[in-house]
Amino acid sequence: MSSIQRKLFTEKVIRNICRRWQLYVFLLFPIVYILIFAYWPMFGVQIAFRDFNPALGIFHSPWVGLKYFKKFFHSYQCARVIRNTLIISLYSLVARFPIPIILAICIHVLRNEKLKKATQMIVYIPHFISVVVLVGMINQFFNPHVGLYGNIYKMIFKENAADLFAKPTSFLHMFVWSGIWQNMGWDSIIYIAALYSVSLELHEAAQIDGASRLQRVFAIDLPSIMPTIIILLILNVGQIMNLGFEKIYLMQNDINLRLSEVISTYVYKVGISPNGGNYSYATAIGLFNSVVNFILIVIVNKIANRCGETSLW
Amino acid sequence: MVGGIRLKKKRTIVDTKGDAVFYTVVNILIIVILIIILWPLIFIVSSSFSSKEAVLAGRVILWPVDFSLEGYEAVFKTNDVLIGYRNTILYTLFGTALNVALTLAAAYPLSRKDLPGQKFFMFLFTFTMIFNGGMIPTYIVVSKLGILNTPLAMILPGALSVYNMIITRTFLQNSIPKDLYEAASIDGCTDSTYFWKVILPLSSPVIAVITLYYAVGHWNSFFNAFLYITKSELYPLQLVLRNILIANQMDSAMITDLDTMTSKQGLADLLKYSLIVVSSLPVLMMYPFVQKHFVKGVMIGSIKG
Amino acid sequence: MKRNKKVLLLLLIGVLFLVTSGCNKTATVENSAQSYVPDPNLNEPGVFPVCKERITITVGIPKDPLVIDYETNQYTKFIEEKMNCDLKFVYLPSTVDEAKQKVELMISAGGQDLPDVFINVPMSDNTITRYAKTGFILPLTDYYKHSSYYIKDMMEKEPDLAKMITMTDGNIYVVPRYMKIMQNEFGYRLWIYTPWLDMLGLKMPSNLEEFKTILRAFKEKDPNGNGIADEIPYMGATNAGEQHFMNFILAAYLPIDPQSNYLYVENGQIKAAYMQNEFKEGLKYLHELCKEGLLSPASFTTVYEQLRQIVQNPSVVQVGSFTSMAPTYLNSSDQRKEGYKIVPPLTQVNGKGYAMYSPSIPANAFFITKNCKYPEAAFRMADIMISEEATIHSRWGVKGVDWVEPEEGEKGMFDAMGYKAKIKPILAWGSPQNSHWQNVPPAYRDYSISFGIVESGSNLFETEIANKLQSYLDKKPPESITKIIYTDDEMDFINEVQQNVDAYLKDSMASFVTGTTDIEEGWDDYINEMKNIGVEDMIKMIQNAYDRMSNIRRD
Repeated sequence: MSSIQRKLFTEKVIRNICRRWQLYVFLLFPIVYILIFAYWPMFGVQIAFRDFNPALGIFHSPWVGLKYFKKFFHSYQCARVIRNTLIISLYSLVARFPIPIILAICIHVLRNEKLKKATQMIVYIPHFISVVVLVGMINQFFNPHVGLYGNIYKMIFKENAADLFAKPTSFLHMFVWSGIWQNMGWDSIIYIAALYSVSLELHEAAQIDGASRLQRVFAIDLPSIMPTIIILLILNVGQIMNLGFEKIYLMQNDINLRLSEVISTYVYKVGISPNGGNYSYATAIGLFNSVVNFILIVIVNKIANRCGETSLW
Repeated sequence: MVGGIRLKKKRTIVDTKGDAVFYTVVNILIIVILIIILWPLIFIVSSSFSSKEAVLAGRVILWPVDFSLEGYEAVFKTNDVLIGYRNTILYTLFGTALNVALTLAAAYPLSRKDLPGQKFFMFLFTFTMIFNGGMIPTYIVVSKLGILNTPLAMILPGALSVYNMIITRTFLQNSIPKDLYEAASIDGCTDSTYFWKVILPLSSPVIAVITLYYAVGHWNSFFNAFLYITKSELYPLQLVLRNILIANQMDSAMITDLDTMTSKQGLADLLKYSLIVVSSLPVLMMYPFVQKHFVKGVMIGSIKG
Repeated sequence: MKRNKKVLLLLLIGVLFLVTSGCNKTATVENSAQSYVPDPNLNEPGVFPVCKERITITVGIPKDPLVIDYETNQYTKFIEEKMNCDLKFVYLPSTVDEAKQKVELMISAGGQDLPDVFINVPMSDNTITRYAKTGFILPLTDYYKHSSYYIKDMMEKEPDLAKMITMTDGNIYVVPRYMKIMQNEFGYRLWIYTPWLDMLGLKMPSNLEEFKTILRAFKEKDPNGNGIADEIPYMGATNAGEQHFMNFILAAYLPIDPQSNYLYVENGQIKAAYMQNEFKEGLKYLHELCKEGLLSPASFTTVYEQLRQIVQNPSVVQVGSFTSMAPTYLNSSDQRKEGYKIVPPLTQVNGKGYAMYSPSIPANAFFITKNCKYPEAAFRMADIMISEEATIHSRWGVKGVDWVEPEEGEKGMFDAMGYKAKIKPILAWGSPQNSHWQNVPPAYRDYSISFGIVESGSNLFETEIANKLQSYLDKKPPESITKIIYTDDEMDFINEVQQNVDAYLKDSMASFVTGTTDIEEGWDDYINEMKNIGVEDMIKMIQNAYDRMSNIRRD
């Protein structure tokens, strides 16, 4: 760019900024907030590269570079915990993502107002069950001797039910589908809200044209919430490595350990539980998780960009 | 066609066979889902009203067995629970107000394509969703701000959820027609006035959703309290309940003391289900109010043109 | 354009970094190498109340929901009186792990809001030493020497205690809760349903073969009389005391101590039980039980909460035997409560065998932080808690109100072993109360206290435990590991290896016993893999540390 062009461009930019000054005022408070509560603590991420010593503080603890990253990648269980985390997360994502959308559309399609309202109210209640109780309920229901599953099986087949927990893979299914049961209602709320703003005129026009309800779902309802769907998909991909610790920890047992030891439980057992906070180690692994999440989210965002749909940035 | 005084609402367009099948399938699907969800929920409520022995022996299947209020008695016997309730209500009210304000304050400018640096700011916010300093640095920041062990420590950290902000922004971008802005600015509307007069009224669905999300987040939160609070007068409800429940779970770690085992067993089994009911009931009441606002969004379509 | 914006962002972050990096204050590292000067405000050790002028001590403690109000609690009042001080409380989360995390958080942020002392935050020795090195936790060695009264008694009565609480740098940083409770040392027992034995004309088993015969009879002869072969001869669970269903059997082959991670001592040599051929023999026996349907494979997947429901099956008795501390969940109205009795430790056919044994070890129950203005006074407080009076109060409450001395003729539960009754409890354990802090402060119990409870019919299984305790004591292994103190480097290595050993061991045991892997074919691979994980190096390190500690003893 020639210098004259650059000068004009800069002037234009400054003019634009001044014109939109009110928007910047709006933006001021959230920015101050994230600077203080998100970016300031972010410097603490250095703990991953230091041997954290609380007496010396973060900035004066000795620098050890990639020591803890190497420790993780050389550790005996590294490959296994990463593999398990990815398997569980991907399975979760693929199984869990479409269901709230389908549920929201079904609810939206309902014509009986009472059923519609009742369903919306009931379907999101499981979200409030604490994970401790949820796992307790799973153990209770599916126990082959005293659980509901075992009792019903005995009534129908007149013999003792097979132990569903005996195979390691059953952990995967139990974990993912109980998560779906618990959260499909809650996750569908945003879609239900979005579906409410679908234009009625479009529907009337389509009806007159002879489109069936099912066709209208694919032609009108889905496309109008597609931006929401895409954004949520991108956000979910960005959380893949953050597999929560508590539910898995509660569901682990000797038989499924080879599939259920994930990064978060491993960090807990090695880094935090036995010998007090080895925060450097835990932070290093957390940082690794974040980097992977970041790469994934950038990739998916780019794909969304290319497809011409909405994207995050 | 009717000969009486009561008029039934009739659909103006008759269902085709395809449509009839479709609607039936959807109805059946919904009912199946309702059953799958309701059954365990009823189980929880029934267990909370059953006696400790019946729950322990696994005799509760659907309805209460040996009706008893012991679970609820035990929950409310501790003073702490009532204090927890009070604190949580306060944190939820003030916290959610702050949350929604901050979220809108960020989502509105970011939804405007003509904001210089929009992509830069979006990146700035999204980055914080993926990378964070971790528990210790955040604790140090809160400590340096001097708000440890104060209600502010329950409200300020986490005051803006970038996730919710993105949802809000998406809604503003897609559900508010662009020509509205053009029309308004021709009339001399500034960015700020546009926000108060146009955006705010039209975004009640999304405001309802994020209010619900934030309120529930506050209601269920215990992590902030775990990190920043040591005064029991400031404990939120979930921390109180969690302390009672988890401190009494049988875990796979060794319990070598018969004494410990007995004391743990007593509380946990009795309280487990009553705790869920007590702690979730208020929030469940919220949903009908929130749901009313979804419907308002329908009006947007008619403002067009 | 986008790239420039990203560069701008990184620059911004970089600038902020530089600006704020100067903002951190260095915490002062205190070097407590001063020689001992007694606190003038304190009376001589043994003279009460301790303080001449009233002081305030803040106590950090996990908040136990069973304690109604720490401020007005009877134990609090007792301590305040004996000390002439006021106690203030800083509450931590109720779970041990979360309390530890919270304390570490507070320290990591600089430690300004630490209370004077922490009670019942059982941080590991190495964590405590680490924080002590940087000045957050104060050394108590001088106070042990010059300022203790009840603690001095305890140290004299327990000569091994000193090396269990002295760290590798020669200092003592904690006051322990050291309770010698033999019922817990031999805490895991095999319970069997004796009415079935009677019905089938069988005696209590004494060795593994007899046990197998009995289990077969349980399975085939339908002792619960309902015509269906639904009896479960032997079962365990994945957690609580019920998880030791394999360990109990394995103890017939070699000493098994879960507390020391399955390590044991033979003639001063540290060995890993899971590396020995005897372990393989034990697993083979268990596999045979499993193959014949005598040991339920659901033991590997059932949690304690479900196992007890199976045991309590309302229509029939289903479970023939299980391992447990005690099936306290059995209702007093349930006739099964009388039916399940303890089996003495099973031996091999040649009569050799051990009982599962975990020696009582001290727990880190009390330490003083750098914020304490009166450390010696705080130490005296812990000293009071070690006294027998405080120890009994800490568990049973106020004398004369919550417990009384037994009357003439009232038997103690352990009379037969030669221990007189001392305490007759009145206050129930396990319900909300305001007489004590749920037995968490420092304390010292010799065997006579836990053995000195009056025999009363309502005790859950304690009578049966008392009756059979001698048979377990007879099978105590000759040597055992109490507690080994490691350096930081040793601890790091051992933790890492131990974690991997745990995972692989659990997996392998389940695999061998259920038959997923054939034990004869798979044993060599298993041993090799263990070596890969680093077991032999770990044992060498532990041996070093153990020898180091034994040398100290010989001085």
